[in-house]
Amino acid sequence: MTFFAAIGWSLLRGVAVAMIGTWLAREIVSWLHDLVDSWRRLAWVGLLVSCFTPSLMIGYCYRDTSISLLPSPFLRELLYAAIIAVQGVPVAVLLIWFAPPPPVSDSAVHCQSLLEARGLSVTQLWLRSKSRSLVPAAAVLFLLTFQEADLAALLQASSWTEWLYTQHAGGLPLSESLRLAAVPVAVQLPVLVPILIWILQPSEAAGGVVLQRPAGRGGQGVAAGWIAAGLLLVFAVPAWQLWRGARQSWPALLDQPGTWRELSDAGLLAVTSGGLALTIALVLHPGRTRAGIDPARPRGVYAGRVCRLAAFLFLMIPGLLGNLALGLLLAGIFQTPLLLAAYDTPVPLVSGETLALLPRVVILLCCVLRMSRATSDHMLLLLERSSDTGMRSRLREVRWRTTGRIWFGVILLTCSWAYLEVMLPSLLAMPGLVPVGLVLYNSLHYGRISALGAKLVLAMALPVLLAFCFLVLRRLSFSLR
Amino acid sequence: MKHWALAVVVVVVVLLAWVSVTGRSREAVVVYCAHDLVFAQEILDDFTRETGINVAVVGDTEATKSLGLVQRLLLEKDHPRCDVFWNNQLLGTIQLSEAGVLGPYRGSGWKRMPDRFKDPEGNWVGFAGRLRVWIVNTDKIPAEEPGLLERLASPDLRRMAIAQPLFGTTLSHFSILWQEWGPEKLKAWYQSLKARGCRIVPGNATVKNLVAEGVCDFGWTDTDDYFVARDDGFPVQQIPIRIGTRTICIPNTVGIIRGTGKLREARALVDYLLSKEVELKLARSQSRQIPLGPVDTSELPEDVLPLAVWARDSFDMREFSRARAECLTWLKREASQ
Repeated sequence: MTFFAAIGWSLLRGVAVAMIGTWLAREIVSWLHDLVDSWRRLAWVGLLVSCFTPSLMIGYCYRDTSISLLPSPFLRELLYAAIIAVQGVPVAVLLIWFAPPPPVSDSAVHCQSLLEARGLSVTQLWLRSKSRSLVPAAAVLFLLTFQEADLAALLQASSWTEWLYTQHAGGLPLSESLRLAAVPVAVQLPVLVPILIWILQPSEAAGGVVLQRPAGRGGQGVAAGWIAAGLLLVFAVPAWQLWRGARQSWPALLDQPGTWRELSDAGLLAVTSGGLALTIALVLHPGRTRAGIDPARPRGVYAGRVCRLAAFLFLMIPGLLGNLALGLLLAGIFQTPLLLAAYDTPVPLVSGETLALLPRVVILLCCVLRMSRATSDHMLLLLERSSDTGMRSRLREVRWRTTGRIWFGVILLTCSWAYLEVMLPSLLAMPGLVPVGLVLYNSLHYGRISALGAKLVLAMALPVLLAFCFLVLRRLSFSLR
Repeated sequence: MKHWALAVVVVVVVLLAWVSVTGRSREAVVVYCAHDLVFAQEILDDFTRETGINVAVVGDTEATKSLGLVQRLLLEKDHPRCDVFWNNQLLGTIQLSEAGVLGPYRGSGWKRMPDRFKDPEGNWVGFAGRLRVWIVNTDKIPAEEPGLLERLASPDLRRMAIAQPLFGTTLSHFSILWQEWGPEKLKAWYQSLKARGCRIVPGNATVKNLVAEGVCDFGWTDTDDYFVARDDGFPVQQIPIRIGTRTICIPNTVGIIRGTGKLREARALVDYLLSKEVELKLARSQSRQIPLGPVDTSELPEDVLPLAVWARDSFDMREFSRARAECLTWLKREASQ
């Protein structure tokens, strides 16, 4: 397959997943909106678990299946596209759910169609209403599908990322790799615009108010079925396969002294890149008005705001182009004479992971800032100013329950993305730095699946264990006060 | 205030951890290793244990094995990061030697190896070989060479798999065919192979998986991949691939990078890898590599004994360096179309 044929396949797949996925996301949002709180929380958990399942776990499960589908390229493509869609649709749901209210509501659009009012066409009204949430959702689905690289390599999907990565690792000069990568980057650039517009909207409360159309019975069935099928495909089946494989390979794991070093390298990378990405996002995000920042503080002079916006966009865009393009770009930059001294250090990899994380962190930040918490914020203010010491002593626990847990989740998620990142370490890691994700990814390519299960389970369980210990310690420290 | 103090402590701890990681790499011998890290890491850890010299390994993916590292070393020629290159084959190492990337060293390991497995200047030395083999799923077809050759000539090859010839030992295999058959015959045969539906997959391990799981009936792979399938209980057998009467035994090779700042440590590692003990370890490992230097055959596992016999009929791989360069140029052009 030629490079341009591979780009064509990726484009076709991206458009298909974007169209179908956006429709699905819209149905899911309507259904979520109709659910009572407890069921809605459960549905969100089901949706997000599929989204955040690591690609290593999915690759471990489906690599052999994909290879056995070699005689049936259509089925192999369907499997890959289904996995990408299951992981991408929850992101589209988040973008629709947390989209700020548009200037034109659905009611206004309906009135216009009834009155056949002149002056504004249906299309123009649509652009000012539903498109504000649906177009960014479709754009993000397209990007996630088009630039996906990890699973494409493991499942041998027809994709420009798999083509370019294989050619680059096989000896294509870096300059040539960058020249070729410019084509898919150019394809993605216009698609970034609606996503950036979504991000730069003011952080006012959102939460399903854009789509007030209730879900029909068919829509409810589709939404619930999709979530259940997605959980089965990308979480339950891989988890079962992983557990089965791990049970057979625990003894072999104990014979590998390098495992703990690989885990600690990955942990260090996660903490560093995650911390940097969160800090940059909090400092530079133009739409912030909450999260501990005083809204009464002067917003600064116009030039300062423009500089901050420019810095924000400059740092955001590389990460939005995909990890392969980003990795190649940084490999080129750090091999120039000016930065060559840093090539042999962790700097290229940490920079790459930070930039890759930044768009995801910013989207998470937008969702958090757009959560409606007026009541809880007011309660915190009252507790803080209360003359009763007992009331003031409850402040910490209430703050943890209303905002602390959310931010804990954001930090955990951010670090977990960096922890199991595979593409960037394969391009940028310095000798001696061997994060566990890279080792597992290389080993998966070897096909030595039976030896990997235990290591993958350990790699995934360790952060969960650490998070659990933190929560227990926090609880204990509060009880002792 | 408390939160700021905690943040400062975290930042300091993280910085110290990075200093430690960077120091680990600075003090260690950097090895670019194309051999399967699952096996290589154990050998390198043993070296560290015995000598106290730390090793930092840079591996590669199975799909682009050795070619990726060869290209990387060529790119880094003027600013080498690597101290020792452990390749899992020979032809790429010869390319590096001809490009001046490798430096000479004729230590105890070099002296131990037969002439046809080493560079006379000491730029590289071969050790621990493996053979190119047919892998056959015996539940599907019998493992007999005449039958396999007949199938290879048949109009339908959808049940056959080979690895992408752009990389690894398949590239070495094609380089031999390039020279023995001539370029035009090889090109025509390869086009015919694809036209008849032969599965061209990313690596030898994938070939092994396809045949082992019965998706394909037979294919070309290496002895180490065959043994992984056999040890996992799959119904497979191997037959050495012969071109004429000769087999294809591809040695691992090791060389010291010219300009290394850790020459003493690099030489110690090279001699260690070329020692009888390491060749026997690799023979006894799951990969069943064939010792190329003198060893007591009574110490060899039963599986390796027939391999050692087949290896005696093998080509002298040093003769195919130029063919490799020409073949690779053609294959890169093929891959980009």
